[in-house]
Amino acid sequence: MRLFDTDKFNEIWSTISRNKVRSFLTGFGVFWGLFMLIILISIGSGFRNGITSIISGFSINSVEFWTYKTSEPYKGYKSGRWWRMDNRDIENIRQKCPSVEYIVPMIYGYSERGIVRGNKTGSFRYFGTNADYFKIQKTALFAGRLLRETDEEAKRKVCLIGYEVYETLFEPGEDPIGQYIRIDGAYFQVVGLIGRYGSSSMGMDLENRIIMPMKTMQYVYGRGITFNNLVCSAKKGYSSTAMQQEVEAIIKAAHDISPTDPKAVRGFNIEEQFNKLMSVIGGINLLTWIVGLGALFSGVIGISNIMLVSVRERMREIGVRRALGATPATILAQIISESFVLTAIAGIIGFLFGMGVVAVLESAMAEAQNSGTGLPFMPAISFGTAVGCLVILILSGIFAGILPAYRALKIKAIDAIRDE
Amino acid sequence: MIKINALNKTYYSGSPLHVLKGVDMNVEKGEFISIMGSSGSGKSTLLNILGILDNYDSGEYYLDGQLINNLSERKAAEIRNRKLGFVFQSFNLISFKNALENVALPLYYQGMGRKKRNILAMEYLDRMGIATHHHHLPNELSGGQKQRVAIARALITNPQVILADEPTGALDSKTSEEVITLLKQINRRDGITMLIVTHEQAVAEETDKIVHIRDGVIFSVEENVKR
Repeated sequence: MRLFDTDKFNEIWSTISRNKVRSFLTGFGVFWGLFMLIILISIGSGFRNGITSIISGFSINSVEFWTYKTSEPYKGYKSGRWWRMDNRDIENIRQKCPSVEYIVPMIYGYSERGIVRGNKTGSFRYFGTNADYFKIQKTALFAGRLLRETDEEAKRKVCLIGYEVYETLFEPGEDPIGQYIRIDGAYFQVVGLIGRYGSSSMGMDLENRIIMPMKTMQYVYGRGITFNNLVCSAKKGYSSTAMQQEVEAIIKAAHDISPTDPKAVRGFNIEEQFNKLMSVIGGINLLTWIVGLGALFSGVIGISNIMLVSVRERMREIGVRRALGATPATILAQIISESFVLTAIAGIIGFLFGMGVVAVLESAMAEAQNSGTGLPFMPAISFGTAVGCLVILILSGIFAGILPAYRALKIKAIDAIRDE
Repeated sequence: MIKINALNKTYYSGSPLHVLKGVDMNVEKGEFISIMGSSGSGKSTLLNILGILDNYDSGEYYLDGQLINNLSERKAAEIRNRKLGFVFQSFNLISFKNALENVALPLYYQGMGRKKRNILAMEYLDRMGIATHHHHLPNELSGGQKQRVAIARALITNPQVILADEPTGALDSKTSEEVITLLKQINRRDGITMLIVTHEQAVAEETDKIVHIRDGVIFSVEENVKR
């Protein structure tokens, strides 16, 4: 028995097309079900993709620390004292905390129209950091090089500029490498042209930033040995939560802060937050599957229902077919094929519609993301999920036919044909 | 061709209804027989059992030397398809198929290719004299034309027995006559055994033998001498 032959298809198609309006309305349920399933799944994975893309390029097992005034008196100091982390903390942590892999200090600055080259000026944020920064935050390098350890040791006045900075200060096509720019009164040599990695980056947009060696920045702008924030990443196999506690204890001890002070050292554990967010998103995804499958299921029940009605209406026809020599298997195959074809046609249209809408959404979101105004939302359907949806569709088409086919089998030729 | 011994059939819907009470009958190949009886006499039940559309409780039924008892649905379908042809009072054509497709349907269930079965179906429609109406749907045909299509459908598998249940019940007398003449011609020419259930004397008189059924038993068999 061939899987597909014209005769069988004609048999099936003639019954489906005989009740055009009814077939259409019934099919619409499945169409809508699959359409909604695709849309909902893509929305669900959209959140996941969005968060993943924000985090992409940034070491997820890292913790960012910053300082706040103390909230407990300790060792003769009153509570409410303002304090700052400094360069000694970096050495301290490196020696005492074996779970830390990279230690990256950050010192921030902002120049209002103080970024100058020739007659061009701009307003940009700049920050000082060390070479390990690029180990934690992946960065796109368009030209030149990134920061090196020696830049900081020698307090070299070099900087990396983001692409927007380049566009503001340089003519199109001009090579910025080796050129000098003035940043709040001091001249820096541009050694690298950088941009964001992937679609967006954690917390800041490198396109409109200037990066310089931290110690150079401390020296040139009289910041002493203090800095603002500190990012530590855990070595492979170490928990970022444990590392966070260790680093916090080391910093507190060095600055005479009560070990129990809950406010003085602030930490943002990216991994923990990420995991929390992911479990919320996991819940959303589960919900979208339940709702989507529910919509599809009600469509399938609609098909099953209408097939039952159709079997009842066609009792005589089925009886005649039996009398003419149709075997039970033939009848079974015909009813299941009818429900299958109806489900498949409606479902595939819904599938294609859904995929189309997702594709449009996807490109719109990608465009918004590229222009930097996008939300952390990238709807998409993976190939595997799409195939999964089609498999579900096929199974539900067969499923919808089972009960009506069973009902059709119970029709005895004699009952159907009897004229009384 | 058909041999039944002590056939019994009881229906159990509500109170038991003993419809056939030991029917014996012998039909030779090529016979042209009518079965008469008032409604409720069991003639339709007998025809249904002969057509393997219904089963019986006790007794024996041999069709073409083969014992028909407790067949699987599959086997029964095959025998119906190969050895039996049905003609019904209300034609039972499939309403959304044209005359040609209706006639070709039994061949479809034999797995014959579309081209081959359409050629055959056309041939049988031609024999019935309605080849020009092959593309018409049943509701575009007159009663007589419908019955001709149904007869063509019954004949197309070249069966050994044609079972006709009130074939003229829905036709006017002139058309009835034509249909009976047609059935008779087929019987004479092709030697196909024919059993016709009827309550019309005029129809019965055209057959070779009239079997009268009353209260579930064969009451009398009348050789038609008029013929």
